[in-house]
Amino acid sequence: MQTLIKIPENKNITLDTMINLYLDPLKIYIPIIKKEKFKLNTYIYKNTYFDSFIASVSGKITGSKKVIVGKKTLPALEITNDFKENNNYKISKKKIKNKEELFNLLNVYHLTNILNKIKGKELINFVVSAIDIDTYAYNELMLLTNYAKKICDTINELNRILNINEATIVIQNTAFNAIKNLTSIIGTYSNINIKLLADYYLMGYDSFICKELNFNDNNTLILSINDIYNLYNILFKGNIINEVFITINGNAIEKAMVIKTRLGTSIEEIINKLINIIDKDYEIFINDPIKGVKVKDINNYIITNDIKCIVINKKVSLEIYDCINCGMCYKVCPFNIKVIDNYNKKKFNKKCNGCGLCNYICPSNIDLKSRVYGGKNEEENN
Amino acid sequence: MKKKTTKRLVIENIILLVFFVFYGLYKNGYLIYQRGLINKIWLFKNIYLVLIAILIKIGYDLIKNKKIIINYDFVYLVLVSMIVPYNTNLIVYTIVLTITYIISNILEKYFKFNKVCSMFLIIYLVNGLIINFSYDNLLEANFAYSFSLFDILAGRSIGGISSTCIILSFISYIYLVNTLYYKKEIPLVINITYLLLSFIYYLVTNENIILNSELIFSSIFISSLPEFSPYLEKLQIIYGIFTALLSFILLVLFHNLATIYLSILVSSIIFMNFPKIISKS
Repeated sequence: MQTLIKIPENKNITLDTMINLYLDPLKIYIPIIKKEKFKLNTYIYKNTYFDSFIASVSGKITGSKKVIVGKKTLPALEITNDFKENNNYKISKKKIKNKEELFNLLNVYHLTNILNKIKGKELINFVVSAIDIDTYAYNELMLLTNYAKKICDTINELNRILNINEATIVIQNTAFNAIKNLTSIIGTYSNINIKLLADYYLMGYDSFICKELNFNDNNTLILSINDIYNLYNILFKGNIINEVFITINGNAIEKAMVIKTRLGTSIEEIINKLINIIDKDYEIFINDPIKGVKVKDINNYIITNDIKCIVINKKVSLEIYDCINCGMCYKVCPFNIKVIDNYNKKKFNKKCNGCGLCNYICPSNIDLKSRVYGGKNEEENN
Repeated sequence: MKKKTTKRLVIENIILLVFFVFYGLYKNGYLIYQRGLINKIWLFKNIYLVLIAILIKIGYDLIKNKKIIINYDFVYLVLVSMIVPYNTNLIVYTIVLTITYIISNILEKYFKFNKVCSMFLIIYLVNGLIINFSYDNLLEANFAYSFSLFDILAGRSIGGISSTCIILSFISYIYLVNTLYYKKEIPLVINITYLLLSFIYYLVTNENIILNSELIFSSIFISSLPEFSPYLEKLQIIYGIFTALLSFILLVLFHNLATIYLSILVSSIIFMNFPKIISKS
């Protein structure tokens, strides 16, 4: 593994200290993977599942449009919110006694990402990460700052269910507010420790957390604060997860904020309603500018579980030079990829996870990631 | 660790080199002028060389791209203007540098080689054939000198017109090591290998060739130029050892400082064009 690097923050950006709510979108969009036909004006109940997507509001189907989810463009149903929250999906809340019951519950609630992390592992260590992978995202920190007690209660409950003695919450050492909030209540939770980690880009990745803590990947469960918050909702409240947290950040907006919103909401609608863009000449990135993609038309994007932040930055024109063979792309690559070789051979590398550090560090501003990762989305390829 | 652009790296390099040019002005200008060996016009000879190099780059950019591009070619040309001997004829220098710069820009598309060394060697050869191959300036040619260690460190030894100050080279290295994009292993390996070889040579022959300002300067600024040196650390170490070894052998055989640049050129051709063969062997 290579050395991680710190990415300097833009000190001019101010972050709203409260979580903003946008829970009543006018419309939501549900991507359809299977070729199914739906009639206009069909009534869709809240919390109805369509493959891995969920109707986060109730209302009638009023149209369709194409949306971009990850790297794919999918057709999506347009549901106009009737604001009635008609829900036909009821799950009775009961106390979970053991692992098997937890697995069943996670299955029912479609929380497969958490299920995959727990299932089939002999767990010895339990780590809760409050580190956002995206440099511009503050979702995990905001959740921890605002819901510290709920998070700790849920960790306690998971310790009991999973038979783990203690859990460790890892936080970046620069997150002063979250650390302050957590230390004020942590005394009452004897089986939860706090560990501060250096504020490096990619530190939020499971492999790096394990390396820092000297834990073995195979017997360590790492969940994010967001995962814990979702588990809190299903374990203590019996709520279905149809809300997500995203950060809207950047130097072209008046105030950066973390927003709690519904899955399937149009990103354009959120920006129009909540964000004051102060610079006319701006560019939008889905997830951060290093790891994410620059978007030409935000109209095609909706809130999904993959989107952690939206960055609206002042437009900058980068001067692109010839490669000077400095080798920094190789030095910073967390996966030891010989980026220049791959770039010259126009060869994708399977090990690459598209973290974008090579692009960030390149003094010649070459778009190395697009050739090595092949991570351009369909919109950009078109 | 802070990101820097190529433009910034070029400017930083040029700023570092400016100090050497000022020292060159003192050593190969003022000191000779003081003795009345040259007139006022030739006092600034090393600055003329730098300016000609910059003008060649600007002219080339304006003709080819219709705008000035701040890239590493500026550093390459300035470096050439600093390592040429004092005796270099300005007309020969201007013509040969212009031609070699244009040709090297064409050739670099087909294979990689250290442009600085290749341009320098051709200038050195042409100039040598027309005028002479000596590195001595007028003062060194007319007076016998015995340099103390401090003289050599301060840069009074024989060498390129603006590249002899070892103290400045050390200071520059300390600065460059702390920048993210510098291949710091290469100068270190070259100098350690060279020192070891010199020491062994001294034990065997009792001949002292330990301190060499030209080797120190070229290892810090030329052999470690990112474009002409390998980026993998292991290869950098082998490259450094090979360069030092070759430089040492050629210096012992020919007693000519220009052989250092020949060694760097040969190393860059081998390591940049056949890295797989090197890695396997």
